[in-house]
Amino acid sequence: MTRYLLSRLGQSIVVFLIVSVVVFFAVRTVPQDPIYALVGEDAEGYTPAQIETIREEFGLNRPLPVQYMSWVGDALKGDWGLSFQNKLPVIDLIKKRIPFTLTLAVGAMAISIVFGISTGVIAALTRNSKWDMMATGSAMFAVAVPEFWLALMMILFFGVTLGILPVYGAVLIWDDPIEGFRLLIMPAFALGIGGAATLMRQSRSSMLETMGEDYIRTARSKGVKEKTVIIVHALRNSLLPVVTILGLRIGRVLGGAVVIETMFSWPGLGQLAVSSLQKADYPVIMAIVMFSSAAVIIANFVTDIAYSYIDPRIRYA
Amino acid sequence: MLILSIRKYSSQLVLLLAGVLLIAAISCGGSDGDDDSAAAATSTSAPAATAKPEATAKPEATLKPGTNPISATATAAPVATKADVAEPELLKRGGVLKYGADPNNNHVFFQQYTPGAGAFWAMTVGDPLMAYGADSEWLKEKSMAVSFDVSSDAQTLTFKLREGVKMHDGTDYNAAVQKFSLDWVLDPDNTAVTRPQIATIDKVTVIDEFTIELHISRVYTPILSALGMMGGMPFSPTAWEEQGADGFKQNGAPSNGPFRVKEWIQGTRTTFEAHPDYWNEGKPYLDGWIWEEIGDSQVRGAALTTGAIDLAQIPPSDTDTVAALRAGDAHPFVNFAGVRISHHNAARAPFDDKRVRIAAQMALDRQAWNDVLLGGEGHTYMGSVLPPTSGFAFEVDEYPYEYNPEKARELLEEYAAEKGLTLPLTTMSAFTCSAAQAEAGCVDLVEQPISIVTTSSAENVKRAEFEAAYFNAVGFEVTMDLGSGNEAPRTFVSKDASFSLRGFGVRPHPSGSFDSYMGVGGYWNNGGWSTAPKQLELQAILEAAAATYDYSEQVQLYKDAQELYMLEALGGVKSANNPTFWFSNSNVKWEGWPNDKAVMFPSDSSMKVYNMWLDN
Repeated sequence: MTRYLLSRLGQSIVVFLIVSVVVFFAVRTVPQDPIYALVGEDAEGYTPAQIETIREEFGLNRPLPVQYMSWVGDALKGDWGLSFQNKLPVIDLIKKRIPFTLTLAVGAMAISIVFGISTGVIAALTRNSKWDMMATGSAMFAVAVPEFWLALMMILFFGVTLGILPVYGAVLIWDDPIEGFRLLIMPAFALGIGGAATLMRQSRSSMLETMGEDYIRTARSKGVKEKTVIIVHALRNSLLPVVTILGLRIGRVLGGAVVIETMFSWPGLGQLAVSSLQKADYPVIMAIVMFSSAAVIIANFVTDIAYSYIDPRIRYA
Repeated sequence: MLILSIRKYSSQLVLLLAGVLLIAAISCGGSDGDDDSAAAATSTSAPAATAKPEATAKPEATLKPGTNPISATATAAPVATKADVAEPELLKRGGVLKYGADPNNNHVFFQQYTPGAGAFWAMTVGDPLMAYGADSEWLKEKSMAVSFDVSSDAQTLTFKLREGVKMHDGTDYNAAVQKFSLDWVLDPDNTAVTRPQIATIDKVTVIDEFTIELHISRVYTPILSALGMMGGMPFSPTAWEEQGADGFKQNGAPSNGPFRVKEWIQGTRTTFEAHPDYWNEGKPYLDGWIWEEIGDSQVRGAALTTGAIDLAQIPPSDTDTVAALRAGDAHPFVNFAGVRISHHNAARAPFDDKRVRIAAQMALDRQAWNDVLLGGEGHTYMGSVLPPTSGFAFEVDEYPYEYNPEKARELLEEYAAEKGLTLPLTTMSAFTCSAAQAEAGCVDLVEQPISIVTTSSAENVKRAEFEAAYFNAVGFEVTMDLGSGNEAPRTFVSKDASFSLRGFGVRPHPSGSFDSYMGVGGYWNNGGWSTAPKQLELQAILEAAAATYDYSEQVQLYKDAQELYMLEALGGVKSANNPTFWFSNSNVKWEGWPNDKAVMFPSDSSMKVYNMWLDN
């Protein structure tokens, strides 16, 4: 097991390094110069020498490989640099956003899990009924519908027409539980419903497959209660592929729900990523992408571990 | 089957249902007020009413209201008086106004913002040395100068300053404070974004506690209005010593305006509270206001409709939201402070030929442009290159180069035949710098495709595609170069753009825009390398305009420059003046309500929030 973990850890580090190289050079191909984003696109009144001074201050006058190595060296020491836009430490900007992103991620995952797995299981148990068809059809719709459209429709319906939910903003749950929850409902639903649909479809098919297994028939023939058969025998075994999807979803929602955070003015990492990209604020972009990558890598890593625990055969393969 | 299934899993279903009901209950539980949610989410406690100090001696400006300062040189001893605006009958005090806008505030130090980005809130935080209203008139209610004098060589300006003004941190405003701020902005080492606004000042001298003298490096009369921008706003030297620029970026620079920064949460909101010791007694009416950062304009529209915010900024490109709000109860504020123009590269063939530039003018259907890109909300008049708000606008009854694709093609065919070419025109000629130009930084260029350059924003891309289709229809072959337009100096100095789509907002004084459009360093001239005779003529007019303190003469000179540019030089294809939209809900009132012009600074599209109040 230790060997397996070390192997996965090594792979994760390699992936992390590759991501850092790709993103570092990719963001510099964006046709937006951070200096002009700072002084205005016309740089009216600035002499070329002053522009170069600012460029030097940001370290952008050095060759790219040197910049990269310098960035890696600083990052390894925990120094993620200063934002070009406001000279604030990037790590502080990220820290302020993480609680909001985590809150949204937890909310979205809760919706995905509650709606996805429950409807998937019910659909499997009522296969070919109108409930099954409704659930499957809804899942297709939820997968197909763009997040921004769903968010807008929810804002219009629940916020404007019914007036029962706030249309934007965020408060941390621990600061104001009721208001925090009300503000969380729409963005979490808009972000989580796509995952719920995916989980529903996966749960349904996995459950159907499991329910056809010999051991289920054996359990029934031994007179085990149906409830026990489903929950103890079938559900647990059908969760294996669901866990994989959950791991991928966790990485995604932690990585910054760019669209949803922008739509609902949710001050998380996704929103910060958008504003930083618009201003070519390289240090902030790098930090967010690395955090997102780390979230995905760690989520996958944990998923792999969970997988090996759920199915011991994987450990020994 | 279904009943059986439900019976089997009844406990799980009950749990699920209970969860849904809980969500619904919580959703409805707090919905007794439309704005509760966002209010709780965003509002801050309003500052308690603070007793205003007794009015101190308030000097009065020596010019009559509405008099343009550019024509004013006389001074007189300041006279003690209060603000000259009568209090409206239905005025209500208190409350916190919420303004929904793009996420824009990367920090809260106004000296590090360009006018378009920070003007809205900066003008509520600081009162600059000079301030200007809708018709370029001196706005005394926002100015620190109460009078000024100009030396005989027109290069030394002496200002008498307002007395009894307290800064946000409780320190006194005086000439030393104004000098400290101006010197800080002017110091190149501080790389203040506002420095270009006042860069012609080469020396600031304190004459006495309330008199300051500015020397300018050349006769440049627009410096007066430039001092009405953020570069002319003071900040507390004491606070500077304590916090420095980085502290100001996080906490706001204590200045002297009606509001001060209370809290800035990046990406969320900036909260401003009323300055308890504001010099203009009785102002502001609000306890504070909040800049709510709401990224999506449709969401801003929805928030306004629900009452979660009081004012919403809506971009003209969001035609659906504009139309929906216009159809509802919201009050529209419209200002035409932006110009959309596609500059030519007049330094290189084929655009060095006037016929080709005329053809480009005639190629574009401006009405269609306005209808498609601005939902019909723009201004397509062609006479002026400036918005119609400043009194500097030049108008023609009938523009001679209106949409006429047949004529445009004829002109291009004539040009092509003369040059031995065939349509479409696909390339710009090579460019060889003269020896003098090369010494000044000019770079030789090879032949290049005719291209249209702009930023990668969705709005500009749409605009570029639209215009390219029209140019191509008459005999150009335009390639798209999207995303390069952010670096104007690179694009224009290197002269590799054929059409460059630009958008301009104006300043308190239009001189900056004139220079950008038409001056030797301007856009159509591509870095100043054009040798077109009209270019030199234009430059002479602009220099004369910037050198006179005679307001009417200056206006006439700028109109002459526009006429020359729009009818003879033809440096670019102007498509429309695009509107800037705000909508307010019925809760918002202001001095002069419902006339929205009464509460706006048309020059930079910001608002006199200090003159606003909330009805409920």
